[in-house]
Amino acid sequence: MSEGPPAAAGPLLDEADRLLEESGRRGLTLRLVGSAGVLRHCARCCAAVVALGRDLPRDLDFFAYGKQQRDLGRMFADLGYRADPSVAYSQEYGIDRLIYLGHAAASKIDVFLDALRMSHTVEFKGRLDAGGPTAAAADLLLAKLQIHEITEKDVKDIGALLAAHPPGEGLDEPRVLSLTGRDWGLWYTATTNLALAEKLLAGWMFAGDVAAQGAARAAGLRQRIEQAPKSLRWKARASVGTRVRWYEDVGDAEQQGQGDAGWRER
Amino acid sequence: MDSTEPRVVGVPGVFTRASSGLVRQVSTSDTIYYGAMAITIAYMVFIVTAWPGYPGSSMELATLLVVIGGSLLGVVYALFASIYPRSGGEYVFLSRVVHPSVGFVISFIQAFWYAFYFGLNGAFFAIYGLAPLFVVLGLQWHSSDLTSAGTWFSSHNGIFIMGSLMIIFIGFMVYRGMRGFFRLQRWAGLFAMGSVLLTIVLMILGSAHVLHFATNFNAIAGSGAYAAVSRAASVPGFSTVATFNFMVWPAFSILFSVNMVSFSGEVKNVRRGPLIGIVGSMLVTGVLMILLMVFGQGAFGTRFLLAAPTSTKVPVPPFLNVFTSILGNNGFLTILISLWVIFVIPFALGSNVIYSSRAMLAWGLDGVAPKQFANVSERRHTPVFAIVTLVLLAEVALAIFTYTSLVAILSGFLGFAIAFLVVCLAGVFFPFRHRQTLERSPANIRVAGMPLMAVCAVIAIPFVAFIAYRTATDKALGANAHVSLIVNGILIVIGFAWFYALRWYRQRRGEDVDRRFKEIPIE
Repeated sequence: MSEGPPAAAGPLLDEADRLLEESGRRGLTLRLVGSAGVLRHCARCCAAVVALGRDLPRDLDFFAYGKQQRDLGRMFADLGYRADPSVAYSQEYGIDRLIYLGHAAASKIDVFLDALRMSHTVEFKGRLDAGGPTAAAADLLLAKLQIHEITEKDVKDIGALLAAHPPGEGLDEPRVLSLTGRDWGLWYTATTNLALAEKLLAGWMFAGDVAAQGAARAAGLRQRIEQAPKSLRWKARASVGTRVRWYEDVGDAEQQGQGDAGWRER
Repeated sequence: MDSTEPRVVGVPGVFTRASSGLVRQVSTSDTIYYGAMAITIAYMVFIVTAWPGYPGSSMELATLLVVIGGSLLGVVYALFASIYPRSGGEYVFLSRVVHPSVGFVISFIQAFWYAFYFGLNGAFFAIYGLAPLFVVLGLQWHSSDLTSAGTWFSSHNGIFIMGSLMIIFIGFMVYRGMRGFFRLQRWAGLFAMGSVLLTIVLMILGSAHVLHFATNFNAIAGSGAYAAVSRAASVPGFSTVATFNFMVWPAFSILFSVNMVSFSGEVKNVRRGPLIGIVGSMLVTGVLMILLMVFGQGAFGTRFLLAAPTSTKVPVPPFLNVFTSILGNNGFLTILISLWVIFVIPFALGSNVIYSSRAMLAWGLDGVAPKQFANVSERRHTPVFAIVTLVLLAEVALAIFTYTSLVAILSGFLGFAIAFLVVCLAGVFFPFRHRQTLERSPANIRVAGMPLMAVCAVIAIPFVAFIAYRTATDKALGANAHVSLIVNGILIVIGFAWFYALRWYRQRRGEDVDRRFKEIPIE
């Protein structure tokens, strides 16, 4: 197994480091998440990502606090980024997210403020104060588990995170169990994704032990999620099941403003 | 298949994705609340007051016809909104479907009249909400101070001051952002709904003679006053023509849930959200209005309602909420009953300023208005320049309405009716002229092989055209007064002149304005 991130990921991760350094200098809290976050989280994660042959990320995702939004905006502007107007005009409607464009190394930068609102909502307000360049491993994992239409890359990130964290070592599993025990929709999507990850990882022989460990831990985590206590709200929603949509439709930010008169799937 | 649509490849069970996107935050329930507020059930107050002017008409039937015709119009709007999920109202789709200049002029007229009603609704808040509440409370609690306050609220200065405060408050709320506005709207909507249901229950009790309106009215107006008022009116036989003619009044209220297209780009469920929001709010509010009409006649008497607006023997404002308060004969009930007027009218102002400011924002983005209109506040992310402009215009409209007799309640309706008609016409031709666009969109719904949009538009056209015709010819409405006609004419001329002047100016600077109308704007 290689020890560090692949050389091709260097410019992207260098840019992430530059942003993290600058935010620290300005007293702002910024934590790397997403695929770059998994790559940067720890050496074992990085090695597992490489072993699984995951395509290198092209963009950066961060978690940050909403109260620092204006200062973050200034920081990105000072560093030569331009804000995506498609988001600027939507923020008053409750979109807690910033998107920045315009850098060669990172084609797009997403900054989620206080909560990740995608297929499901994962709130992280108050959880970014621990040091380190990335969000906690549990939040990195939840960011992947909440995806309704999961990709092969996401499955590899899940596999890498699980392979790098034996149960009880560095991954705040009670947080995962707590959130999935309160929100039936998140529980359904997360367990579905874990089952898929278990199946796919078990078949990726090329990744050797990493895939096998990832598959076994995905199965274990899914079992513990199933057995964890559930809230009344969870049980009430469970009685409805999948007859009612349990996830949010996620638009495609790259499509904004790109269409002709024709309609595009959002 | 669209290149960015998720699709299964390679490994079964997984998808590909170009990038993670945005999850819109305006829920379908918020669109229903918004549509209901834009309809403004509080307008029932003057709809019922206008009824005696159409002898032989059936309020309920006229309202039902408007709900049906309005729903067809609403379907056309909702389908356009799902094809062009961008904020800015009719401007966005008419400028791309018909012609940029037509889209701009229609939007310009609409924005002007919505700004006008932003001001007038401020006045309505004092006239139909505060004044009746305080007058009736004064009578019920034997407080001359409350009665005096009610009288002041209906004075010129009272209307202007309270209207101005409401304009500024709503302007500030919209400046703070739509998330907070929708939260407030949800609560106000729930209280207003409760208040309407309480009003209907009291009316049912009055109709069943459990509560006695005549006795309570006589206690206020003097012995035998109820009979004297009722004697002054006769109940003519049913008239189909009068019923059709009366439709303009409920139409002035019900059709406005289409205003939701001003923020359709932000709706979570863009496939069906606008359809449910627009048509759903029309159906719900229409049913409530019909119930108020039916049970209002049962509780107060048809003759009394017909005579009250012009009778000198009625010592209180001749409004439905006032009569229900007298029927309830309890100060606390009076406060609760007033909520469906007091909590709804502010959000009518909100829908007015939201429509206009979003239209201005879209103009600014397309370059057919000064760039300032497209600027959003760094702190609140709202189009602050447009909002401030609209607050100032609303203050002017409020002053004109309060201190002059130049304008009437329905003065602006002709401008709206023209816009509705143009949208219907666009709805007839769009499915055939932009077939591919329709077929790729969630609006690709067919009825007996025909596009639903075209079917609804074809049926809605006679309805909307009749409303427009009546608006242009019914002198009682005030929409065909010289001032209104002249203003509409000027708006059309200014709109076209503005569009072509800006286009010429931008082209001289090397900006290709026409290209922007081949794309849907950013959002």
